Amino acid sequence: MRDFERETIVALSTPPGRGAIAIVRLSGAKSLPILEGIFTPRKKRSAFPRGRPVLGRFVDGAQAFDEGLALYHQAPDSVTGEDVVEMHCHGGPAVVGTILRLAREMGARPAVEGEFTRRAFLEGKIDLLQAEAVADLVTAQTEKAARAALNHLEGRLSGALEEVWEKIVEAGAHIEAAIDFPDEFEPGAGPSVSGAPMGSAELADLFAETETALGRLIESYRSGRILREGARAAILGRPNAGKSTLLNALLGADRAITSEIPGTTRDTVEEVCDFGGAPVRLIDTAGLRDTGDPVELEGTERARKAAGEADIGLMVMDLTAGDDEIRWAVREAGALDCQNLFVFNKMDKSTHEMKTRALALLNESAPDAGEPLFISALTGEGIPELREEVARVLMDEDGLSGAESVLTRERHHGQIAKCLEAVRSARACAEGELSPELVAVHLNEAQTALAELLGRDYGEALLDRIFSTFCIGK
Amino acid sequence: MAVSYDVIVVGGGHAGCEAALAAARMGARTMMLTMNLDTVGLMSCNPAIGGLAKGVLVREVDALGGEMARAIDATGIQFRMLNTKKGPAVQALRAQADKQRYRAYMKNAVESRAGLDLKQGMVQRLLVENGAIAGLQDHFGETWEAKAVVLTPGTFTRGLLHYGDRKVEGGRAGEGSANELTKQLVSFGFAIGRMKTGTPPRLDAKSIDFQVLDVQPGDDPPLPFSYRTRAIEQEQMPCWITYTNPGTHEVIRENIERAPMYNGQIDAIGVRYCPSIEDKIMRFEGKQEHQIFLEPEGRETCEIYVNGLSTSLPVDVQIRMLRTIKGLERAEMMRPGYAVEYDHVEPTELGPSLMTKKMPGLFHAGQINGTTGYEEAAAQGIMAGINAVHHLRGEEPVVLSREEAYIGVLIDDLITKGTAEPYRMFTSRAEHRLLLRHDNADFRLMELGRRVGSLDEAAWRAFEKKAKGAQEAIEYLETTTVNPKPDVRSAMEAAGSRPLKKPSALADILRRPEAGPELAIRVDSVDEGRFGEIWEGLDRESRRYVLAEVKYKEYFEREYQQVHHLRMADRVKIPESISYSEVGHLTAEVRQRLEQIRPKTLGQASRISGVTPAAVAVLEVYIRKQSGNSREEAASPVS
Repeated sequence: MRDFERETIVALSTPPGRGAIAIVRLSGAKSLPILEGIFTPRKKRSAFPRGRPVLGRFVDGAQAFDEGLALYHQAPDSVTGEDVVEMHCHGGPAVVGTILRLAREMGARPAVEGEFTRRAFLEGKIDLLQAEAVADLVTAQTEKAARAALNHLEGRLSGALEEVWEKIVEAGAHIEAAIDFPDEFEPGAGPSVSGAPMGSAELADLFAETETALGRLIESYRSGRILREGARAAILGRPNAGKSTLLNALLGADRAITSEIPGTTRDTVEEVCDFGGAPVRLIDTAGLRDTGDPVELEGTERARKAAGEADIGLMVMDLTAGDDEIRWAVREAGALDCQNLFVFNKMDKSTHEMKTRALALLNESAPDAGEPLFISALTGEGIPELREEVARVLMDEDGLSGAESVLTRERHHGQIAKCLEAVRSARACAEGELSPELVAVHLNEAQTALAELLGRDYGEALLDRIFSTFCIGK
Repeated sequence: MAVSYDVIVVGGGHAGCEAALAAARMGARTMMLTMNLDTVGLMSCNPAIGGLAKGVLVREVDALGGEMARAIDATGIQFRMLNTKKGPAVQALRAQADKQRYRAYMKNAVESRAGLDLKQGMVQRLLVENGAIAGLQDHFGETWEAKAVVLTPGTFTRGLLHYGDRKVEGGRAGEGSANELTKQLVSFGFAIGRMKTGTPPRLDAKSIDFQVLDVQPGDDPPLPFSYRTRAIEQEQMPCWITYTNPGTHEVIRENIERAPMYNGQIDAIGVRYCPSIEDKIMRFEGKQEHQIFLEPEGRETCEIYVNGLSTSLPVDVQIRMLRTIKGLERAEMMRPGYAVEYDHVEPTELGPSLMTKKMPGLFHAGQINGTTGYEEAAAQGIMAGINAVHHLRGEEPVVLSREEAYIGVLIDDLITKGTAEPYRMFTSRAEHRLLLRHDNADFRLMELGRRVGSLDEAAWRAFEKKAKGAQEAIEYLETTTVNPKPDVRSAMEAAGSRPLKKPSALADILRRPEAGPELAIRVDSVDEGRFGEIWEGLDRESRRYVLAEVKYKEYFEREYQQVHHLRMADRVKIPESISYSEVGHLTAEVRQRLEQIRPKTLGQASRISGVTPAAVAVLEVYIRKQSGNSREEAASPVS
């Protein structure tokens, strides 16, 4: 492990394939010798300058094969804390391949995924939250997901947590001061001395504020998870309602096979696209209908299963198919365990009467269904509105704007939920006027959950707070 | 020829007495060397023992067979249980001592202990042979051999007293200082720091108008500290409470430039939680008054200790400031307050046995380790004494865990984190506060005390009897079912308790916040149960224990789970031979801290300040990898 972690690593930092410019990075002790072996600066210098781009040529032995820039960051002033080299070359696979090969020949090994970030984390260059954010940024599938990741990288989530941490340390300081310094504050020790710790009621209020702040973070996870992991949207409907056509319209390409023959899609088809910033995985299902065909039956089962795992179901109805289509959709939607959006398709083929009748019937049989959408998957009419509506259903305002305090990781969500649970228990204890050491048990649970997330030392923070808040000491 | 001992203890303060007594009790030939035989066991500062967490430390020392609890029980003049309105885990005893009687008691205990010789003299030089301690030479030139030396010099290492701008060498008013010792400790390669503490003036009781002051009486009846004391029989004395006022604060502000902590005369680190009055005034400007306790220093003296008014202001300012205070308008000062600066050795130089890592056989206990307080000193003293004997015998050191005792928390904190200011124990420092209680120190530690030989057999037998009775009571409470009959309902209603809906264990009824033993007895008597009888048969100590165990039960489990990962990390041993320079991806700072502390377990490593969770993760992977490799090597055939 030791050697593995100390080896110099090399990787292409820009997306693979043909691009105008490609960047190859090296990190580790051999970075500079490798750079000097591959790259000849245009101007002769005695030493490679630090932190400044240098023009030159990439060479394989005596043979130059490209021109470009190189940057050298000396340890520990680099992203990973080690010697780091960046080589900017032209983006063809041949050039990049040659550089990677030469670097390997000179002692570097290909980096494993996330290894640069890992090294930065282990060297203390970034904290755990930030390390995770870098990973998210690299894999972000949409712009807003990238913005949320970038906010984490700049420590803004840590900022929201900071506020919660402050409140918990404050509550802890008041509880511990009352426990450890009874003579200073105990009623009956004389006229009340100003600056005594909070009583149960004030503590309960502070806990309630803390719960609100934690609740906000928890709430943001619904959007955050969707920003990071994406959502699953199942396209449901009876055969020939136009589900695959809708999928293609949403994707803007002919991905699913479509035809006029009902039941063409016999299996589920999955594609990812950007819905208002959220990477949404669209699942085109086989039509839901009673059928004797075993293959189709299997497809129907899969459709139900896909719908069960989805965050949102798009109930697609053929406007031209009559009342049964709507009754069926309402029944089917009621049986599914996710949010639903009713979508009337084939606007292009329907009459005004059909629309009015469909809307009335839907309102009557499903009064809580919300506004349905009218689209034509074939002509693209109503498709942008549908995209927006899906994003609105999936995410709250913060999520839609890629706001800073959005929780995006299950681990963070789990820790915050644990913290919230503990603060709730602490408040219950305070409200029940239980002895402060019992309130403290719950508060300690809360701080442990947060401290793990932030990597803090609670004990020291607590003592600092006690002695800066209270005049203590006989 | 030099006289030879097993253990030599340098210093006769609270650490030194416990160290010497423990070693002698365990059968080691022990010598105590002290600068002045008349100050053995002297309380240099406040005339009190105990307080929150500290009181529990005293009980722990007692459970290990130490002397402090019995000394205060015999000589205390006022006993109070603190936090009686809060739960049993945060209650603790505090007692005012008769300073001179306490000292005389302790000197007698040391003198009368078989196998313990008491000698007056100052250490001139520690003797080293083959890189290990071999004895010492005193300032008369006499040489004493010993394979283990426990240093407990208190504030005497280059002690310097400050009374305003007047500076006097000494560890305590009117006494000398040990100026040679530090040089030798530096030559051993120890990191040395400098700390500061202070003490308030002592007033003449005849000059104080007690009539106008609030009285603070002791408990009636008082509870003793020691498990071995039957009852406190001596009469108790009151303390009094008064307050500073804006006039007092004005005198201090006007003269703040003459305070050594403010004008730069002292740059050592002071105690945040035992601040001087000038510190309190300057740091908490908004406070209009500060509480002052007037505490008698004994039955046969007029000296009154002014608790809350520690100061190093010049003597003339002290008396002016005092006379602004209610009741003290005509006060006469018998001894002025002062600040004392002294050298200490960074406690990170120590291993968990309190033996220095660089000098085998040399142990440090008390203020030399950067702590403050008699109780903290005694706790380290007894552990250093026990471990000095174990070192001689080549036995494993006795190390208490953080979940076992405040002593464990204290020592682990010191050796792992070091301390930037004089270290005092607080309940909040313990992760397992509900387990580390006043009422169960005997359950936690007596077996260990008996095993190592520091606790006498009589105390152990008394404990066995107590434990049996308490266990029976707990079992009865947990296994007896109460049914919601009308008589039970009315008993509960009368006690202001919620109605009982379904059959419950008697213990569950007792666990209700509003319930006490009386209710349990009444409810149990409906079915003609025996709880009343069992309860009657328990002494006060056992009752406290039973109540705490039952009431906290579900919280123990919560705490247990919460610290589970900590416990696991404490079980992962770091190999003695580890070379941190070979562990990849540690920052230079972390590497240096680990190299300096050389933690014994991953848990200890994680508590070192500056060692990040990432570094601990790296270390853990490294350790697992190493132990995995060595297993593979062992398993591979020899070619």
